[in-house]
Amino acid sequence: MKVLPRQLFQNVIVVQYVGLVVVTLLTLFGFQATFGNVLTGANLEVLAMNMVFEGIMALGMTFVIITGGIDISVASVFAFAEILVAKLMVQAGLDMVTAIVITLVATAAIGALNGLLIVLFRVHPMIITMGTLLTLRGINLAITDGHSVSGFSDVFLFLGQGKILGVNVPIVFFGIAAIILGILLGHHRFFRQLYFIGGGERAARLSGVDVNRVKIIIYTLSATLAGCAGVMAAAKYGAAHWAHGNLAELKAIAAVAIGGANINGGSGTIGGTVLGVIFLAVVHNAFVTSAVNTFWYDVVSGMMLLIAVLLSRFISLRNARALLVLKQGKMDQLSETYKS
Amino acid sequence: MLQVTAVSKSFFSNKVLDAVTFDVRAGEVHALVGENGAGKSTLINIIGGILQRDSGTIVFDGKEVDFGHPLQAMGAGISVVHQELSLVPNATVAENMFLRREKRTALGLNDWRAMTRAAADVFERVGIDIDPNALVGSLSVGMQQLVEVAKAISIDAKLLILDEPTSSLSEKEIDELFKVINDLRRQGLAIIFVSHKLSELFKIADRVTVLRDGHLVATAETSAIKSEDLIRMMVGRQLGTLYPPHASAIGDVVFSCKELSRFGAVSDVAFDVRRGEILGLAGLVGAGRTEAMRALINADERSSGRFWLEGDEIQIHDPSEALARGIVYLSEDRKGSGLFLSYSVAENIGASTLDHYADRFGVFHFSALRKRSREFIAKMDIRPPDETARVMNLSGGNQQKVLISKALDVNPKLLIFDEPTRGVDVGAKSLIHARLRELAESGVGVVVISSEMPEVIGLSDRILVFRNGGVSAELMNRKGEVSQEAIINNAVYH
Amino acid sequence: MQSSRRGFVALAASSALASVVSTTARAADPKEHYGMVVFLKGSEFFNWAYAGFQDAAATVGATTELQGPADWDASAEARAVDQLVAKGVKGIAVTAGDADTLIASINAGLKAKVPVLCFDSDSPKSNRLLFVGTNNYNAGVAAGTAVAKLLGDKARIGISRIPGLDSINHRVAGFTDALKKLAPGAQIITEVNDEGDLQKAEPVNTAMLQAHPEINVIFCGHGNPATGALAATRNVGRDKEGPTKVYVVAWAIDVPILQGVEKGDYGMTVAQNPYMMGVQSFLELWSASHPTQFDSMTNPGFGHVPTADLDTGVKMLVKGDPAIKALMTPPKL
Repeated sequence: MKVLPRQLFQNVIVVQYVGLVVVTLLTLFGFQATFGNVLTGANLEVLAMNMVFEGIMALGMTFVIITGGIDISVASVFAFAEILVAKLMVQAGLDMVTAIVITLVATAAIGALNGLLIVLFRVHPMIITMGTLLTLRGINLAITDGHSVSGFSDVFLFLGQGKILGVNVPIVFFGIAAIILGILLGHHRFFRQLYFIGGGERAARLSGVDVNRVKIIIYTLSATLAGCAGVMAAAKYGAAHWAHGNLAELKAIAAVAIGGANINGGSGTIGGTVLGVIFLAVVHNAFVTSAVNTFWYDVVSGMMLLIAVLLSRFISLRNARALLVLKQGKMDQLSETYKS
Repeated sequence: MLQVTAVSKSFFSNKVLDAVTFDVRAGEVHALVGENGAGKSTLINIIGGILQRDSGTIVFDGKEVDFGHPLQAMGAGISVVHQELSLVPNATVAENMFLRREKRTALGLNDWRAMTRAAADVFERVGIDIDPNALVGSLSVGMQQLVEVAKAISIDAKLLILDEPTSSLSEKEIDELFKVINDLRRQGLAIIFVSHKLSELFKIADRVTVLRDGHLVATAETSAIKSEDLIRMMVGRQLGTLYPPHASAIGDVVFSCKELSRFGAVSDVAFDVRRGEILGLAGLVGAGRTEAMRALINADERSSGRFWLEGDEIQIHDPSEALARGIVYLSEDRKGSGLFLSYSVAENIGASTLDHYADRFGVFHFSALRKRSREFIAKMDIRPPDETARVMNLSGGNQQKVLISKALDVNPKLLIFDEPTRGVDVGAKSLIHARLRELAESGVGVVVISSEMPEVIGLSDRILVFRNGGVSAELMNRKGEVSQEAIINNAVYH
Repeated sequence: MQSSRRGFVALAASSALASVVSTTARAADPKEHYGMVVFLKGSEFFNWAYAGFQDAAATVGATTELQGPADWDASAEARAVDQLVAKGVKGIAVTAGDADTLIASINAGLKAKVPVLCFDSDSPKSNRLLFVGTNNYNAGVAAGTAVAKLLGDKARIGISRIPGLDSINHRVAGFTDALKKLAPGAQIITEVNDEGDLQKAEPVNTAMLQAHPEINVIFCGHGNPATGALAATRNVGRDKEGPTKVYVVAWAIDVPILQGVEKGDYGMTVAQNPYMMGVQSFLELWSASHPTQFDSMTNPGFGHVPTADLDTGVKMLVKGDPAIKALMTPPKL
């Protein structure tokens, strides 16, 4: 017995990545050729910084989506982290490190609560995290009266505005986090379980995967990454404000889906998500470069999202069809064998 | 190796296993057979630690055991290969095999090479040729089944339980699987093999145990028993309830169907339904009865089919068109697709016929629906007799009566009823049977799918037996003369 | 097969994108290019401002673009400023959705030698060249003067506002000072907190009129409470012309409010001049990016701009004012 000649799944994923890289490079070089100010250091820096916080959230979102879940609370966790770290430093007078630690612990706790509610009540993650989204947005508004909080030390501002070896700190963070999480997702036994949960929760349970525990940890990780992004964003903008990062969850989800993850779970990689983030950043930048009304940006990213979703739907239909062919073959064979 | 003594299990008040005793020896393949609902799955789930028994003892490998979790059973050396595959298509064969038992490098990451090697070792041991690095999604279902078996024995299993392992395999793949099973038997494993295909048992099993209605019927050497004996032991269930009399008179054809096929599930089914008669569809689970009826109303896309209603050829493009023509299909999953549980009895009864209760301006008159619902409540003896009660608060039998009322409110010409009395108590059962008979007498064509053979025989005037997606026999049953053996004979392959 | 399809779709998408962009944009153009950054992009108010910006640019043959989020997210504005700076525009006019959030980006732009100013909403702690917009105190004086003219010493005023906002404090101060000077007998009876909420304004103003029946003017300290205040006068039956009428002084130029003024529902409205903000923003940016033989006094390296903020003024609109008609057809993007 040999495996099927074409390794269906592998090919699809690879082609999807190559397609994404090609489209991204085409856009980049096409606009450089037309407008000439794309591939400048300053523009590339702005291009990256424009999506970096959504990118960090997309890393956590990748894990959540692989398990078949979704976390739409990240944007308000992001704003909450901004406000909390700002208030702790500016109003409570805590030192920077303590403030950041408390903030990250708080966001982790929010994520753990998300996960706990999802596994306890078996409610769709969309509903639970939407509850968190709205609750936290309300809290963010209430504790700030709608005003921003500012007045940070230069050391703190470095986290958002500083550079390490000429690269902005948040981008360095995104890069390192992507590499570490990418390796873990690819090769660590804990993270490999995500694919089994997303592929079939019942089967995963029967195979001894502690589904509830894994889910709680994953939602915790997602919220903590959003918290990290929020802390750096407060430093980048020099102020914390409830409206920061509005709708960031949609951009993060779009990046993951465009990066080839099946929104129903079971597939997705950090590499794909990074490509998705870069794609969205490049396209957005292209709109600014060309001065086309950026409202069209939403149209293009929406279309790419639809294409990605349709593609994964197409693949699953093909697989269902293949299964039917198999069954029909077996039926024919059986009636042939027993024809009396 | 395994000694099961007097194990019982009840779900709610329903006893599904009653003091079953059997044993499996090392180096034997022990087949477990029985009709739908005989208790086979419950028994293997108890042995595998997925369900917990109510009473009795299980001794495995010399020690009394009491597994609370599948992992404990696995740790002790019991591996279950379930009927539905539990592999993940986007991971490699090796990764699937070593889920939760990954080999690690010094860094704590997965050691893919070591796992590949270990998987290759297992494959070599059982003599199958699969690339451990292939993605599971790229393998045929048959090979995935072999991977499942390899995964099961890779935990150093002493007892391997295979639940209908051949149900989705081709003949060639089945041979391959049997070769592997034979190898494992030679290596001293104990194997429990659950199957509907009697022919396979005689090929592979050393002994066979027959269950019926949760009771142990017999355990026998396969060499000392014939196919006919097995069938007799599997059936033999008594007609539990009193059935209404069979048809008084059978009229002309109400509905007929030809060349009904659905790719991969139903092949070339043809039948007529006559006025006054109840047509019963019998067969084993998965034989294609439900699939055929769903294809008939095009709930699942059919590949072919021609239909005649009262002599005229008709088209049925979708379930709502079927309903408009008076063809009603009541699903076996009444909670999933038949009833709106959180709505009232009246709202459910009128769900398919909302137009009847609206005047020409489209204004809906709830009072008319309530009046009509009270008629049904009286006629069907729905309890509590309150048209505003929520359906979720009704018992299974009363829910079923609401479902029938909903169907009758359409004034159907053909009623197809999938498992009309599943999960229904005895009293409600007789009432449902009586109403179905009345309906047939009033000139409606009635088709009943039932996995309970006594019900099929007691209720139907004619029986179609399904096997492998097609009709294998048509049995006249005007006086309930068909035997259960005759049905089983046509439902299985010998 | 599905792989090649994917590639095809992706290629099609990108070429469509490129063609859309290349037909609409004129980047190879050597014309000077200026950017405006707003929040609530697409709102009438900022459409007026951008129209002024665009029209002023056209007089000197420069081009413009409008960037920014469709919501309140000031961090998206900050990123838009960064993008425009990286793109190398000649000047940026930004209205700060949040004063503090924009400081870093505005300062970075100036450091990169791109003139940046604020209009309508200021970021006073940043190094922006200047602020172009309504001087709130002066606008308050205009409103107070108009009320004094209308009712004189008989004016009894209730104020609907959000407490604690600097901009509204200035408006109310100007309003009060003008009244004191021109109609010393007029009284400000009370203030209510509408929380900036369109729905809240009606109940709080109704309660105010019930508790203080002597009130005959509701002064709206900002854009949101006008419709709610008008509904409150209806609730107590004092919306009709006559001795008991309560005059609502709105602070908005939205079309429904203007219609209400034309019909006589509102006593008057304070009309800011966003179009003028756009025009003046452009002219100051143009001036800043074209240094003459003397540098700017406050911003070495840039051309001259005023060292004080620029007040674009307000007009009190009452029924029959010809300006209402012009404002009724706001520009589209």
